[in-house]
Amino acid sequence: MTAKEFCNRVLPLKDKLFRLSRRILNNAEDAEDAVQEVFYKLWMKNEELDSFKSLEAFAMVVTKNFCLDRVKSKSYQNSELTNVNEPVEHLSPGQMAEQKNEVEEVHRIVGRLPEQQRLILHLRDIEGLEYDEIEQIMEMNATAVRVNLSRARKAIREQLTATHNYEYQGD
Amino acid sequence: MNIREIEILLQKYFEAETSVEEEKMLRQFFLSGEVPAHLRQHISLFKFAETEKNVAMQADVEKSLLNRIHSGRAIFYAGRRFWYLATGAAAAVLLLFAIYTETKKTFNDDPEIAAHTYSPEEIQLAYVQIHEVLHFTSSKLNQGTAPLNNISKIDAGAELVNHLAKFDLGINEMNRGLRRIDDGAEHFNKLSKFNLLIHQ
Repeated sequence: MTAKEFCNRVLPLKDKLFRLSRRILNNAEDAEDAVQEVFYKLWMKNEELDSFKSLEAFAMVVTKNFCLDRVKSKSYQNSELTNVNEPVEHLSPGQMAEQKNEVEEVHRIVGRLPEQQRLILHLRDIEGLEYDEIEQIMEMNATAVRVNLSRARKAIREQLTATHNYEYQGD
Repeated sequence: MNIREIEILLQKYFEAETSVEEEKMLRQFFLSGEVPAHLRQHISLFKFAETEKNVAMQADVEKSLLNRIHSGRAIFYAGRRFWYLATGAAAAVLLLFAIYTETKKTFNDDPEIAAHTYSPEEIQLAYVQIHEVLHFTSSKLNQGTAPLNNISKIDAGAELVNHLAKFDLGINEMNRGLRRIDDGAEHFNKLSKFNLLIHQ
């Protein structure tokens, strides 16, 4: 693969790889660094890239593994994407404001999910990938993927309900 | 889509039994703004996915990647390949040089002694053997140059072109060396004929 092909085919994946990195690292700045590193790695392997059926899946696997290693090595805190200590304000007037806060709440819940659940939810609900692609990237079998996806979705539902119940109790 | 169908899909959704298309339908419904009260708690999940979908990177990846390629290790990487070829070429040159000096030495010895010590058949054999060695070395050299084809795919920079130009010089030197050895072998041939003549 030439430098030109690399620019046309591989670089456009940057946002996808960024989102995935951010999901794993829970940090936008680190995610940007990670993407730079991953692109460099991919460039170093540019001759092998043509042999892959799915360039995208390969790039995602490289990103996933790179970020997971990063997490292990730096002994990351389970940091969250948004401000951790901000309480969910339930005093906002309109539905829009409510929904915005709820979206942030979902953010926080997802950030606290176990790694595999978090990743699979990301690949399916945010990136819209098919199950076989997810199995390839996660290097897991079909059953394991579905089980984790189900758990992730249910966890969000339950934690959202719990927050709402708690708040409604206060009224 | 009526509410009952939505509720069924939703059940499947939490069991991770929906297809991508069915999930699209759910998303469309929950983002439509017309959601009955008892289902409103699920809106945020679908809204979350929707906002996350479009998150993009701020930094200029292409620029910094190209900078890194031009300034750093990529050049070394191309240089490493050159180095493998260069050492192979150097070995070949040394080998040819050794053969050349050996044949030259023998030729420069007292011709009469040389003529007496080597029979015509031996001289002919030596000539054939030298040729075999040269063929072998040059074929190995061709194998060694194959990776060079890949280098032409990297549109890196002027440094690369310089490296290749230097290698070309090396090849010309080697061709010259080969020709000289051919000449030396011819001398042997002539010498053996001369030897036959004077012994008749």
